[in-house]
Amino acid sequence: MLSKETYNKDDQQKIIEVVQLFKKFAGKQVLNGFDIDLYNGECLVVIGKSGSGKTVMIRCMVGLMTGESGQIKILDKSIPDLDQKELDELRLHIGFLFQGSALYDSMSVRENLEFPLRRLRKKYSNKDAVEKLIREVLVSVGLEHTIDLMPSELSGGMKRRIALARTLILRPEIIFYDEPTTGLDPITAKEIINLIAEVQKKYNTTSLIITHDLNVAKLISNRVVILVDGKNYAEGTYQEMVNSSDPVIKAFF
Amino acid sequence: MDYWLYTIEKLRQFIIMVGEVAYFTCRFFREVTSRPIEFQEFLKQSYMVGYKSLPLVATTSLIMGMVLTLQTRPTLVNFGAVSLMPSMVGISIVREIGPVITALICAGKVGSGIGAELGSMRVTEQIDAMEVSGTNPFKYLVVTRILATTITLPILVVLGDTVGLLGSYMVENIKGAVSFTLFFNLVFDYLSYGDLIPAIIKSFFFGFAIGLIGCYKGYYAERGTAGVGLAANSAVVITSMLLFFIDFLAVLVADIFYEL
Repeated sequence: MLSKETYNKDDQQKIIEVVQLFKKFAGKQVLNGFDIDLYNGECLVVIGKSGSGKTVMIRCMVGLMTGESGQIKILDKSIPDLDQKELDELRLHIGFLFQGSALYDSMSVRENLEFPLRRLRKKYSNKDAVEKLIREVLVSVGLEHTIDLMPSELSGGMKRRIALARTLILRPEIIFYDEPTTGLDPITAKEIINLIAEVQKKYNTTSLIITHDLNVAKLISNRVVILVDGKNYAEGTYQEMVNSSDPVIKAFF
Repeated sequence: MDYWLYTIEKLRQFIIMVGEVAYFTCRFFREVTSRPIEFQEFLKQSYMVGYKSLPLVATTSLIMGMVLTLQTRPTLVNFGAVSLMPSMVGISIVREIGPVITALICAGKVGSGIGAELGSMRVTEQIDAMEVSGTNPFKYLVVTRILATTITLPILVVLGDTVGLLGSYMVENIKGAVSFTLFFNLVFDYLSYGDLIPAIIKSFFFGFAIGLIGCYKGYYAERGTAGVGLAANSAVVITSMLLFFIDFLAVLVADIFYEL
């Protein structure tokens, strides 16, 4: 991980740019002109109350939902303007860790990890190379012994780690984390936070984390954005947020 | 007033559903011809739909053949027409009862299974995870399942018909001491391609309907575990209704050809 002290976004290339994103659900304005910039190697944490539009925001960013208006650019490509093929190509550079892990429960851990490689059959036609890659990412998350287990045989924390391993297998440049520590006990949550930090350092990824867990912001964020009513309320480092006298920010910290 | 509003709302929902199913069908035909072909998954689904349903289809067909014979026999005996028994049972099973009963059994077992499986994958974000990883979930999950039901159902129908006729023979053999050869000679003497081919063709449509509605309901299941149950339940109900509708249309079309 790039250390929080040495990270300087001005030296880095802009990887993600979201401008004035709007999204409505059942008559309710969920995203109300949300803006965000994310720089190469940065770890940005977005904090907001339940229903403030955090999950909708990252789902729009990976093309799982479409915003009503606004601009989303990832790696210089405008997401709303991409056709399905171009979007799938771009998704090879993006990882997504779902809140509930979203492991394919009819497949073993090995098959879960093989699944994202299916699109790259030509590159990964050698079974030994695939096996080596699978073992390598499992070692990265400390769960090599689970390779032949089914998701139903794993604990919540293990599922989250395997989901992270599945995300890492395509070596993404950007990883979106949707509430990575929700539903985990404090010790396991801390292990997952440490793992995210290790992954960021080892694979040099850019991370966007949405969470309620202030420990995530405290331990690994370079920058924190507070989302209120579907738009940015405040932005700064964790320490700046902690020192803020604004009552809304204080309510979070 | 409330009743009318309720009726209009239900009608609106029905029209929306018909539109969505039409779109789903068009998407299936567009995706089925495009690469990559998910052959492994298709084989796996064919095994799940076909082989795993075989014991249930065989058991119900056997009982159906036996019951049909037991209930019809006394009437034919009264009219002195018991020799027509094998041909009557043969035509009934091959033309109508076999395909419809097999399809209804599969709608219950396979349609609900597909609805629940895809519904569960939808609400636990597994389908989203496939999409984000760049895999086309429609092609991988939906196309393979619809193809599997469409291709395996006619095979199940033929096997079910055979077992049903065997059940009929068993009863006829016990009651009337008819030999195996005589029984099946009488069955096939009165059966023509005009009985067999329309039945097989409509079985393809039955299989398609089972896969299509199961996948549609599961793929668009709403959030939450209640949505999974609803997807499985409505898949069975809608498919069963649709099967009878397809059967009616198939009989109408077959009748036109017979008239010609």
